[in-house]
Amino acid sequence: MVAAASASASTPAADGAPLVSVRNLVKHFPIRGGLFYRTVGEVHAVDDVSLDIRRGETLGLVGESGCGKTTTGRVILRLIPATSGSVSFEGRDVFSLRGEELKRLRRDMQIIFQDPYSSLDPRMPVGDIIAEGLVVHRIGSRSDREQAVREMMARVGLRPQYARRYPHEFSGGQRQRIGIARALVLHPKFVICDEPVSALDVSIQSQILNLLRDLQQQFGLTYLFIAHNLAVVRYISDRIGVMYLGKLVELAETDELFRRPLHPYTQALLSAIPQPDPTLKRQRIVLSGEVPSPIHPPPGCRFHTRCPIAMDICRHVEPVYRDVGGGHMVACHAV
Amino acid sequence: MGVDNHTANGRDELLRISNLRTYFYTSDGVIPAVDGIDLVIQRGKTVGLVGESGCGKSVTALSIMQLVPPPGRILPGSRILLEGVDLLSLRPEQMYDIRGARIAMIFQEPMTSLNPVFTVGDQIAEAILTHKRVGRGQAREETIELLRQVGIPQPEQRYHAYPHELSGGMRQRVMIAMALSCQPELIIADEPTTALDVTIQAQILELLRSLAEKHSTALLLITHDLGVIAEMAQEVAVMYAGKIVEQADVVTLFREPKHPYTRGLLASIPLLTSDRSVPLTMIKGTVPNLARLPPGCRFAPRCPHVMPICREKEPELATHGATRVACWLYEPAVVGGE
Repeated sequence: MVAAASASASTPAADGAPLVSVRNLVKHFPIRGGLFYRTVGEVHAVDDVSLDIRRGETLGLVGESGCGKTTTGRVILRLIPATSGSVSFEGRDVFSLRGEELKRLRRDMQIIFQDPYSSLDPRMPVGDIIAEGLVVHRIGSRSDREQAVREMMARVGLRPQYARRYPHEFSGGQRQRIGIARALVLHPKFVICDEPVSALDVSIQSQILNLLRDLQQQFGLTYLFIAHNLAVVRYISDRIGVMYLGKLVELAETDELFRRPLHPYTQALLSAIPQPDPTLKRQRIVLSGEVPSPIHPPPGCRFHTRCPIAMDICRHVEPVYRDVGGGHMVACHAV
Repeated sequence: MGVDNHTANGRDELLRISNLRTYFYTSDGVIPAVDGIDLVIQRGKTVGLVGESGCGKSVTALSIMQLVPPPGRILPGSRILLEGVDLLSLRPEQMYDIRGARIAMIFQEPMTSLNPVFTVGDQIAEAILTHKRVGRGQAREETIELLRQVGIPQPEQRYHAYPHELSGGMRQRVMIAMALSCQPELIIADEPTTALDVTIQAQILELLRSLAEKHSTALLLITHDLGVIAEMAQEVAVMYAGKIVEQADVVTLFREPKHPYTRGLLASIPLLTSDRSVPLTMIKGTVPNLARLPPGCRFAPRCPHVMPICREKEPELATHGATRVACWLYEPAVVGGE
């Protein structure tokens, strides 16, 4: 079997065409060094990722640090250029849009960042931070914008009278609410949530997760929810994709993935999460070793160096990412 | 003063903290980061100290080590007894002999606690040379053996590695090797796996558990992650705003949490098995500003069961079954009047 790198990710969307379609997305970062600052190597951050995001759903993307989940999100939004591959949004090719069309697209696609402190300008009152998108896109008069900001603040659970305050006057959870208001004030169709709760305490985390779910219903949003915590992703996602070292290794409906994880990496990831139940006796799969460097990813299956069931073929031939039934996608020779 | 009665037999008791108060005197006012806590650690046992940011769990650890940074001060009347000797009464040079040798500490981010300009081997060997009467050659051999024990491959070569050449997981293994170097009786691990990925976290927890068992080292495990506590600890203390609000053995705490804060905390964690269609339980509001604490119970402003007395008088830790809890709900005289 030869690695059919271009295997399509088309899980037939029951409810019409997908909102976002990612095909064979590749992002390599050059490593420069030496006397003439030449490219001496490449970080294979995202390697041939294909997926569809359906209108109104939440697609979770999980994986450990350096697996490429954040880069995937940034490339989809065109915050960083792709090396190759394509992304389409409502049928339009995201990478070829220019001028007004691109600006229009940016209104429709927004992002919520992990660290609500470093992503908010400390010298701007939060009302201005939230209104900035409206100003850039020249929406409404000054008083319309103020009204929109006040309404959005109320929607995300912030007191509108705090609009003149600065980010440092808010707690971590409140700052994340500001980040959410900033993203939603333009009424986007698609929002990437990049680790939106991992910097927050548990009691605040659940507030934000519930808020994100409520807002999705109210505004009919589509989410790409990027996180490393599988329990969090499970709670919010309709489908989940698992990434390892730049590759999508498995993708399925949430309940299906947890009931029947097929990839050995997904299985290990699931078993590694500490559960708050001291009487639980679980068979833990402790992976040996560490994630290899994305500069020189292993040949064949990238997971073979840590895989408990690696076979000879895994060391040489890259497994095909394919549908094993009902839209459950997996890339593993053993399945 | 309430300290664990059922564990108060002196023989197995390694560390006893009583009425520990560590305050920070800032320009914004006095911050009672740790405000009168009692805790007993038995020899060879793992005690989990759990709570959210700012609850005082790390300051408790630093107080035991007497590494509280200014403007923080441990108040008179606080006692930290290591086998009956009050660490707070020791001279600095006496404390120097205890730190690292009898009580060692592992921090969350090993990169900031390792010296970037020395090799990891030399840093561990230095700890051995400081506390043991051995020569350089012996210290070097012991270091390599320790690196092997914590699962670092090719320890002879890695001896010469600098911290930046190692991954986060490997650096944490180096920290553990360093903590073990003088066979301490107590290791304080402050969020030891928080900066690590789950699969690496699983490795490090496994390692800590097996090493603590092998050397019968007591472990004070400080974390915000109730999952980690459930897996590692035998005894658990839950902290909120500078106070211990609930304390029990691990099974009791997770099976019958009593304090509304503990219950809220447990209910707000998304589980791998919970029903996804039901919204997560939330604890409303945020942690109070420690410089302007409300009168009465510190959790009262966020508590779903708040009663008038909660806003007036602070509840004390009291024994109820296998649990010690500080909450008016469990005081019959109060609840009975309702």
